[in-house]
Amino acid sequence: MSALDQMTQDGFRTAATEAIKAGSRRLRGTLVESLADPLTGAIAEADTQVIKFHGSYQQDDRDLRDERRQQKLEPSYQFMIRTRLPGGVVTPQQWLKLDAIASGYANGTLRLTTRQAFQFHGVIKHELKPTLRAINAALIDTVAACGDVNRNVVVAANPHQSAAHAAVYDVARRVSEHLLPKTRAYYEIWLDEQRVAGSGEEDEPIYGPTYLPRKFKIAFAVPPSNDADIFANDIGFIAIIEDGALAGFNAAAGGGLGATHGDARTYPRLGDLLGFVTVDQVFAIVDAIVTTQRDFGDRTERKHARLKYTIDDRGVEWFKAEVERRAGFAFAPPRAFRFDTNGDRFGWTGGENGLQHLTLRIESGRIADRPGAPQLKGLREIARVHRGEFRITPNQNLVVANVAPVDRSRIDALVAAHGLDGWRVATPLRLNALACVALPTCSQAFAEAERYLPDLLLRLEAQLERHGLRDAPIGLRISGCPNGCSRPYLGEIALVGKAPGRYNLMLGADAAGRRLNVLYRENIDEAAILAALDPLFAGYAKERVDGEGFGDFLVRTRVVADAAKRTALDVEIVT
Amino acid sequence: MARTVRAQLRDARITTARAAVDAVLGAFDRIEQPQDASRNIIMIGPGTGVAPFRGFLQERAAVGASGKSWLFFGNPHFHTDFLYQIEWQQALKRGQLHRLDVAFSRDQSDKVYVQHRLRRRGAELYAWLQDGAHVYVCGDAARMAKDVHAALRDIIVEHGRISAEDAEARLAELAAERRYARDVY
Repeated sequence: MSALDQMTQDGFRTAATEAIKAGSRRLRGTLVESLADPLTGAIAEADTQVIKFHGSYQQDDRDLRDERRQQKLEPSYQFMIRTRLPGGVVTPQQWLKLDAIASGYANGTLRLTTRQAFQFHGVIKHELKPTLRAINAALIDTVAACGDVNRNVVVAANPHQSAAHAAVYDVARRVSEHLLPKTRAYYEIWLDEQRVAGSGEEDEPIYGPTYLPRKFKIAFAVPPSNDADIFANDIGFIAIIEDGALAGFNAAAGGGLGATHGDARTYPRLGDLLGFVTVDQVFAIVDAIVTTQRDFGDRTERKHARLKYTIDDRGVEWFKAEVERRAGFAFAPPRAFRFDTNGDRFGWTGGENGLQHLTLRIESGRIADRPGAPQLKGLREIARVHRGEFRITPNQNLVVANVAPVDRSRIDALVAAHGLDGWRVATPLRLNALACVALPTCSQAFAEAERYLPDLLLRLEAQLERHGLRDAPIGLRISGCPNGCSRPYLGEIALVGKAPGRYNLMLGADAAGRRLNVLYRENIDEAAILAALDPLFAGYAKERVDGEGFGDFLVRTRVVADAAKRTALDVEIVT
Repeated sequence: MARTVRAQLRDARITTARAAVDAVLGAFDRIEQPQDASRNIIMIGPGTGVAPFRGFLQERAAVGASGKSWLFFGNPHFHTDFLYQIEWQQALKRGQLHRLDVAFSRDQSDKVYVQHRLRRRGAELYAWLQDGAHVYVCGDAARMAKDVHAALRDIIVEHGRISAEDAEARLAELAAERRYARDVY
């Protein structure tokens, strides 16, 4: 398809989506009718756009497509449901309820996402409403977890800085609530709330009647950890902790990772650091940025509609001035901060409050009962005895947080008994790898990701072992498509799906989310990937300087050009 | 077919009129479309009984039939047993099938069969009958055909405000006119 064709096609799709939003009576669409239609497991096409705003995507089991077509059956339609869960924090009681939903309505697994949400997969239309009601009964909702609105707000998991985390989490939670759509559609459709006068015409003071041109993402980091990969977000807030207290945030804007194969006008971009704001100013800044994007974002082409393009099209200076004008104040100069990693720290850490935190490795964020590793069951057992909370990390892992020292041995025993102690022996490569869901449920996927990761890890581990690099902390990310759910463009090594079994090999990001990688080899299979990496591993083993990451090494030795945008790195202030 | 009629005749509970219906119905080896393509048709075909109705719709599409068509289908599970699902969906979209009611017996705790769907649509079904619609039943003889017959009789009783015996007689008439035909096995 030519770039022009792509543009035209995207233009039509965008116009259709904008019309659907405008005509949806504030996100109601014909969902009620669609749910009641007994002849199909699908919902009406327009409703597939509307339902995203309610935290769900219509998908189908792509493994079964051909077989079912031959049987003259429609695709095996099913729904993914994603929670809105700022910071990914749940109580053990909530965990138990989510666990029961996974087994009762979904495919028997809980999926932790890179935006700290739970995802349920495989929910059939007939059971969508009971499932959403059960989630809400756990005091968790799914409002705006997908769609052209502010998505789940990500917060550093940061288990060891309890006070700072609590303060940052509180701001993030309030931002998430502040940016919720005002429509009652969700409550009417799923929770049987009575319709009142004005239903379908609710005022949306922040979003307006057509919501945003595209999805919008906010994340909060607490240095020195950049586990939230804040430069990959539309707005990234970097907590500035002074004398143990939260002084405010450095705000960055315009990050976003999605791109489209073969369309050079789309690209991953890191956020620009705009300046410092106090905690009180956060809401005004958020409103100013969101409404600027609402008013100036591209509503003619979805591929080009994220905030990053709005900023690049008009310039950072224009953008900053517009935001300051709307906020009614200027950014203060950014305060000093430093990021040292975007990974998680596994195992036990002590907090400031005498409580302890255990970070568990959950491969690809998929919690399931597998032979020899009944992790879903194990976490259920832990939830039954745990008195603190659980936190999903932005790297698809899980923190059993706020454990009293007296409870530690009991939790350790449950962890060991249910195959949850992989972090003790896994290679750094394995511990830090990220994979998106991809096949068979994601409609965007061109190639496998989550299902392929275990095989890929074995092969890469064997290769690293041969080069004496078993313990090298190399960040690997794999994604089934170029949209970036596993944040592939921030991986030191990344595979971006191109076709079944074929990937673009991306190299050269740093290990703290400050530098994007670049394309190294296009559209290659596993053998070619391993062959391409082998000499690079050999060189890294021999020539790396002390403490040098693989991505940094590749850039220093000019294996990959240092062409990746370095916006975030350039403005970072190192004290 | 003959065996079915005999078996039903042996059933002490059935009325004379009912036996007459079965006798007439039993006379046909297979069901045939109305000669008059402007007639509406009601097709009741749970399980594999739905198969001949694909041909019905194809034929009617080919001759540009102006009559409407209404299909009742049932099977245990929506996900795996919705036979020819894609074809019915397409026929609906193209206006070759006008109504489709489905009953998936095992997808909920209480078992729902086609006869339940017939009863739920009783008023409209009766209106179609009064309007000259032809009714075709295909599939299981042992239970389904009887249950469907009883449902049709009850619908005529309720909406025609006549006795059960008169309703049986009415069905017998329809059968004689070949407007009520069965292919059950």
